[in-house]
Amino acid sequence: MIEHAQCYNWAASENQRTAFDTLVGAYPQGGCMKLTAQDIADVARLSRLELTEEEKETLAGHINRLLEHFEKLQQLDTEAVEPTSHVIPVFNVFRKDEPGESLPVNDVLANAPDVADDCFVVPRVVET
Amino acid sequence: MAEYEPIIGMEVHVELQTRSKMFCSCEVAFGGEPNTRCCPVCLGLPGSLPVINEKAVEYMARAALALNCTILPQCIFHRKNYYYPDLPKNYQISQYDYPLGVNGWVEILAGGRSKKIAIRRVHMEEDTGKLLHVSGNRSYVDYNRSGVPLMEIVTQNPPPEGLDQIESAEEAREYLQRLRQILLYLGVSDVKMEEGSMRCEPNVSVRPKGQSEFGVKTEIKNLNSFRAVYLGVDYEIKRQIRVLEQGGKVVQETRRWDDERGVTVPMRSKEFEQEYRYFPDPDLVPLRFTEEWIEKLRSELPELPLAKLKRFMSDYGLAQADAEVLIDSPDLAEFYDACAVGYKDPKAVANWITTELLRLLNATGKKLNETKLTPTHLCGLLELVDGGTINRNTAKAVFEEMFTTGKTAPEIVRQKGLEQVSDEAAIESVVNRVLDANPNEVKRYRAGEIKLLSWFVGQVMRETKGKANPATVNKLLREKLES
Repeated sequence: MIEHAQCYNWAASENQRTAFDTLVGAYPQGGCMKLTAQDIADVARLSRLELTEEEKETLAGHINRLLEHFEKLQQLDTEAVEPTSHVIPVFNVFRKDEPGESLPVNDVLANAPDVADDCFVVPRVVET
Repeated sequence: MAEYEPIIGMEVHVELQTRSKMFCSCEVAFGGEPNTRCCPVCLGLPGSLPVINEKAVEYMARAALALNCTILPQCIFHRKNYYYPDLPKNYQISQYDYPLGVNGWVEILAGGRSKKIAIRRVHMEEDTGKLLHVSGNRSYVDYNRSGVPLMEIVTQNPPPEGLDQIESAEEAREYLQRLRQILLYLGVSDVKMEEGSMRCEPNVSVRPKGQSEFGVKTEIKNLNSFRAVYLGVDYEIKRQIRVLEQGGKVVQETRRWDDERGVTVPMRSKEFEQEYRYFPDPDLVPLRFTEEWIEKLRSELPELPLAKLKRFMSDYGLAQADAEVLIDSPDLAEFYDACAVGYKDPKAVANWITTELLRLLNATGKKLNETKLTPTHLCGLLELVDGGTINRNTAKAVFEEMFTTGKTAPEIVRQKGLEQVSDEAAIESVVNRVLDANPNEVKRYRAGEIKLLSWFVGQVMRETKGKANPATVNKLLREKLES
């Protein structure tokens, strides 16, 4: 849970503080709740995983035990701790905008399930 | 019958004109042989590591500021997870709850009732590959576009206090055009709708006038020109009103614009909001921007198109229509500006540029910077016309020559002996010759066929190779024909 009060520490201007308020209001910010076998089934579908009923039950149990640990963590007072966006305290890793070599087409297509006209060929998809 | 009002939201994607992709060094270009600009990063091969293109971040920050957004001191990249063959990693690197810029606006003139269209967010992401649909049951995929820096700009409905929303197809088109102009002025994208470097997906809903809740919205895809955006949105507004008036219900869905038939057709129903399982991308560390960096970018913003439009109208006295033509291209605007400050009649300059110069540019297919014309040269030409050295018709021919050769107007006039002849005696002898040679026409004129005057003028001009002062020719012809 990103508490925007802490974000004020690095939101310098009035506009930036307003911006944080908007964002915190607009997006769901985590929180814990128990998952059901149906939730597992939904996530599995989104991940293209095929699970048996038995596996769904087992996995729901496993994940819920994990979530319990997080619930415990949430009891901590984190008021004075800056939210973590990344596990290592490193920022602004960039490259210069300089084009370099790409792979030869044959290498690009080496893993393609099917190839024609130097393209990856896939089952026909409807436009989205 | 109830009156309905439309509300339009715009989601716009813009490809940046960087030299390399967002997270790898593959080249960014349009077209080319398929799958020739790909590497392990943009193909999503295991073990590859994306590294952020600094220039792309700078471009998007510049754009966010020009769109009056607040840039947050920190932003992070998320993975947006979904399965589709144009997305080799099965996730798109995008931004979620901490985008680059928020709470901005774009001004549109909306037929004189200036509006500030609210922008919810500007965020950074990467483009997907391109699906080439082929006949049969197979699709071809080209990943050259995969990983090209992409900026998403989304409007906000309802707008916050003091800002506005888009409420007609005309406003939707203008919003998009203003956005395009701004990005063009910033030099961050070539914003070509027909090549897909600017793509727009409007969503449309209608509600009975006075109702505060929004109606059910539909999203329109496949709009590949400003005209299509106007027509598609306009069609969709009318279609929804028709459905409601007939007692039906608008279904939340994505519809495809069919340009040939001029209609939108359903593509898929959107009953369930897609679940993208966003999470912070562990491969990319957060970005932090100092206040100094943001302010430096802000101070480097150029004069933006609408500010230029207003200045051209107030300082140079141009009509809005002429000013619009000039500001639509930053090159043309800059050229005009340079001419107009150095010349006493800025309207006349505008006229030359919007007619003669644009005509030549269109005819030759050249860009302004590919020609040899300079603002000083154009002003030099206009001064020759003002001083009576050449007449307007000769000036057009001289202009054409300047356009191709880069010579100055006085040079061309001198070399070709094009100085206007204003000497009455010289012109009079030609006039006499013409009248003597055409007794029939003289008779007809005197019998009342006065429109023959311009024919006589033409004859005299031909004799003088177009150099005679037209006013003098007219005056002398009248005097002699009517005496």
